[in-house]
Amino acid sequence: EKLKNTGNVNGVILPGIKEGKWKDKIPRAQSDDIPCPNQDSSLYSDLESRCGSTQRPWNPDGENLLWKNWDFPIFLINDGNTTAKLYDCYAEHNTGPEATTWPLCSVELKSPMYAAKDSETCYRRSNIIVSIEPQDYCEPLSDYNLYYFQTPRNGTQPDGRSFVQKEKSVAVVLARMDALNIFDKEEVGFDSPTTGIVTLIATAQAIKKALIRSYKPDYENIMFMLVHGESLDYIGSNRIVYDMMQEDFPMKLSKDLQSNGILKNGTQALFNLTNIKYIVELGQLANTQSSEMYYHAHNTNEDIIGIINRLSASPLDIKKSTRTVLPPSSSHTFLKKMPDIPILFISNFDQQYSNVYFHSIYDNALVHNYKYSAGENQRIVQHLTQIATALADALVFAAAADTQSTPKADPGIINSMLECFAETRNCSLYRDVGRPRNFPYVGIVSDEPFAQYISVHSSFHTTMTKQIFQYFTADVVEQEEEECGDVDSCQKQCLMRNKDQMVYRYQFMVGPDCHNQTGAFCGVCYKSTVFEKLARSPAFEPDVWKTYDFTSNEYPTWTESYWKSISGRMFLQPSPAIQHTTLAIGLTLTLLSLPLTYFLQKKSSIIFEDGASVTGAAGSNTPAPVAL
Amino acid sequence: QKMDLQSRKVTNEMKVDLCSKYFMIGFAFLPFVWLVNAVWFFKEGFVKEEFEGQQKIKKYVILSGIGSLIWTIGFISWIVIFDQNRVAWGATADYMSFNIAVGKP
Repeated sequence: EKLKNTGNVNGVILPGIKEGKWKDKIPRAQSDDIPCPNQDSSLYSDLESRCGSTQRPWNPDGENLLWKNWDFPIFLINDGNTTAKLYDCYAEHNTGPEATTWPLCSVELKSPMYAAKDSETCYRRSNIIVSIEPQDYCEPLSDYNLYYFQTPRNGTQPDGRSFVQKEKSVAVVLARMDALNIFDKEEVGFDSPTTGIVTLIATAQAIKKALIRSYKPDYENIMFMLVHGESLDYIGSNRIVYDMMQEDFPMKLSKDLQSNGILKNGTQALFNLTNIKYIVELGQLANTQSSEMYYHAHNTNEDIIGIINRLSASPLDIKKSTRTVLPPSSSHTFLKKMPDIPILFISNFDQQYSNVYFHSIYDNALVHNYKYSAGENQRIVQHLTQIATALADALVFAAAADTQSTPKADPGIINSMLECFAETRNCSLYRDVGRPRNFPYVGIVSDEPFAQYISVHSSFHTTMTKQIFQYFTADVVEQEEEECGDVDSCQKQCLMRNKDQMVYRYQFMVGPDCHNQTGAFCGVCYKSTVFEKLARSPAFEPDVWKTYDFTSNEYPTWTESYWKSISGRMFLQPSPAIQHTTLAIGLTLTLLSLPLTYFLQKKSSIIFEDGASVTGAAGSNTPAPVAL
Repeated sequence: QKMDLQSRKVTNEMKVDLCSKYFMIGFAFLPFVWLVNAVWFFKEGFVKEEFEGQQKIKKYVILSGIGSLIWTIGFISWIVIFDQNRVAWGATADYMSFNIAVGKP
């Protein structure tokens, strides 16, 4: 901040800590976000509540790098060779006794961005059509939310009547799916959001294995949701709430009825905010500093108390938070539209984040002591297993009347998921859940995990998370008598079952037994109730944005600028004296050459003896007859 | 070659006719036609010796010159105003623009 204010800084290069000279030189704490994350979209209107407390805000290490306007490029360079070269050039030319003599080592950083001013301006400009090649300036942030219903919701009941979801009959478990920091494609967060995603899926799988045969009278279902873009003023949850209020969740039934049965093989009943019994939200869950967990309850009622009691009775070390306000969480979005929903927010912090690298490139597996090869008995895996087991048990205890067994989460799948999300995309679970004609069986599989940033289109992170979710909660479709043929025709037959219905999502994945060193040789058809829904701010809906007041703060309006590829160059800069001399010589030569050429032309007949061969030469003294 | 005013084939009447035609055409929001008219016929109107119809040419040259000057002042004024206020005018200015620069407010 201070450096920026001097006005002398033209660019910043940050050397990566993964390899090279600065390997493992991780700062004690660093966070790109503000001390009170998402404060402008908070449920509360006063700064004190938005921050937890202004003296002890939620994210004390927040340096606010994300939301400031930096008018110079900031580059992260992970490659050890490049950072070594940069340092060597600097050491050789820019330091030491010759520090102020030329030539000096210089770097040029290019980071062209097309958008300017604000989202409203750049989005408006992108939509002005004045030529056949319109110029785009920015795009709204967009990806997909995932939702999963424990029990399939067939829109038509067995007796032929349509199913209507009862009020306050569905328990909701929620976690965010995205990470954020200032460096593009480096947004991988271990504590936030990976621990939440992994625990949520493990909880769902545990409940699925326990096999709920029937619910208690006031429960009809349990829904799990992974919402995207929550780091940017709750994009995903805003969209979900908007869809619910527009009767567009899980899909627009009215549109379906109009077009006379597009989904004639099965629909789902509408679901909206009134059907939510309570929300259990999973925040950051890692036990890096301590295994103590906390719950932050809002609108506490007997359902919430029941869950709390059951969680407290489990081996999990969970205590009530000493704060009276709800930490920044997706639940805020739901509460803003329906203020009486009971909320239970579970996290590893009481008053301030225990994760000192929230929304930072340093929130990685290394600092949280996770390594896939350490197996399922390592601290973090056991800890998340404990949370998932306790939560699954509490939900089943509250909601189910009859189950086959008590839920227990599987540490093996938690370890597998952590490997893929936080360590490398070249992991065994991605090979199990991959589709045979997609990643990882097509394309290059590098060693980095997928970026978890929402970006402006669907991402590998979302797709693979969805497939992992489906894989762990789906039923295998048994093959009928005749074989389905080769991989492509099997896949086609499987995906055909998705036609005209929205009760199940059939996914064709390779599965654990269908791949070896060379690749995938078969696949399995999975029948799941995991769906995706567009997660883009309602402000950019075609019938909303033209009249939407962008200053109203009703919906998030974050967009990403169009940009050309970023690049950098390192070179030695000669002294200004040399540069000026070169310029002067050049100018002089040019100026000299003008009269010189003129005189040469004028006196050409004298200088060049052979005057007869001058045909068509301009400025010739002997006028030659030119035919008209 | 027909456009060469020096040619003997172009009579004085034709010159006057051309000059007046150009002057009329310029009223169709064509200030550049006026500028061309003024420059092209300046020699004819003010440098050459007196000939029949030269008064008319003088008149048209002066009027064309004034016309194009007014247009020039108008253009420059609008350009300056728009350039200074484009950012402040926000949406209105965007709707007036054909090409909006990338990366700038």
